[in-house]
Amino acid sequence: MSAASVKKMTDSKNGKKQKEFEETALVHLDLLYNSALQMTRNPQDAEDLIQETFLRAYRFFDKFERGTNCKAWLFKIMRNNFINQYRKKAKEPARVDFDEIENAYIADIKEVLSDESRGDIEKIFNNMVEDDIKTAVESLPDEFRMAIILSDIEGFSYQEIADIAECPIGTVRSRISRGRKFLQKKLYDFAKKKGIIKADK
Amino acid sequence: MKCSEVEGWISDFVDNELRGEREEKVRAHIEECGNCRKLYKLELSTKDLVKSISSTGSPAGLRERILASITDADTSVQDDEKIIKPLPWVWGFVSKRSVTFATAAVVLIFAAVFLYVTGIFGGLKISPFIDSVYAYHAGPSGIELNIQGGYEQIQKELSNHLQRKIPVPSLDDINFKVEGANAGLKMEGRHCAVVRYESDKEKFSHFVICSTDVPINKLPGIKGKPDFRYTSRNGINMVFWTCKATKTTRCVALKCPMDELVEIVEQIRRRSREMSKK
Repeated sequence: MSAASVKKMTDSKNGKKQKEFEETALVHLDLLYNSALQMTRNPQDAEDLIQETFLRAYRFFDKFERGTNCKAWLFKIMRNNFINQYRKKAKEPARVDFDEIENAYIADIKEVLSDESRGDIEKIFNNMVEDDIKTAVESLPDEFRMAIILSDIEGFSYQEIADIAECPIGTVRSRISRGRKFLQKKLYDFAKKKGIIKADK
Repeated sequence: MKCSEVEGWISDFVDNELRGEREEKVRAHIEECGNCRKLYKLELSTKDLVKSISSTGSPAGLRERILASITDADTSVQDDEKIIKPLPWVWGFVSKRSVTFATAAVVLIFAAVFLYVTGIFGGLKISPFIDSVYAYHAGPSGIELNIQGGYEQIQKELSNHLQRKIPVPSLDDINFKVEGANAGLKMEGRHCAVVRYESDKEKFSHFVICSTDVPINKLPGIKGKPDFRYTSRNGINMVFWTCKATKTTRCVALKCPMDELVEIVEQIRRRSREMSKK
């Protein structure tokens, strides 16, 4: 067999693989980019992360079990990539003492909820600007942020998130529940600062 | 159901994770109880707020760049299938750390390698998810998990990793096989080994590079002739002994495929040779 005909054969094989990859994996590009952006907090890093993720996925595409959840598979690869590459570079937010926040939060929020004169909590949240929400989400520790993004933005179930993050489902529950409390506390603080909520009567 | 109990399930309820009786009870309680209903609404709006920040679509041209890069990947594999690509993270790892290595007396990089291998060295099957690196550092720049719990921690990691497939046996049921190619290799006063976890009851194997307080050949259980030898594709000789690791042996993990494992070992050895020259 001549070198040219070998090349031709390989080309057509690769062409088929590429086409399947485009149809199965690359269709999730927008979703993945979205999460990559929230994870890396930076468009350039998000783009790099996405490129590496798809390149890796392509290299291992033969190992992807056809018919299983490709989106979850891609997220798993992306999460691993993210942890390996970006978490080292990214400035880690200061360690969060969740117990402390939870206690402070519960005190604050309960007070707000029980006192109608301070305003309706939904109204407060409706008045949140996108930047504040983004800042709050970005300040979550990586694993918490990831769990919340996967759940709220991507619509994965707790079990799927556990598979992606390679952790027990109980850990996912706790990350989401505590992460949300953390967000609520942050947003509540923003609202207070901006005078949407009266600090004191 | 009490309010305090319902509070604990609100996230699950909002995320539609509750089923059956519990779901009904939480729903019924929320309908009746004003305070819990507020908490529920708050949780729901938090979820909606997060949803609202999702951007629309990926940047122009990204899709094309990805397609170009996978086409490149195909071409380069064709051209040079055998060459092990340099590992950017390893180079970064070494160069970033060179200063730290030279100066800090306490940089302990505990590296370990999980390899998801079926069969012994015959047919290596590597899961796509295992080829990423989990470096757990005790050093100053490590932000990853810092494993200091010795084998219990490793066992926990293994369990997390494998929980949906195979229960991890108790430590007493695991034989540790220590790779001898790195015997005597010093890293900041410590020694490195590649340990293979194995269990007769459960079919899985893992490789872990670990650092120990004692030279490899002094590790408990290392006696006599090695069990078997293995030469990697790029020529690293690995020698395996059966050994029982001590619980005080501390180690931490990298996950990677065989190629990368070999590369890592090589990097560490090179590094160690340079260090000993100085």
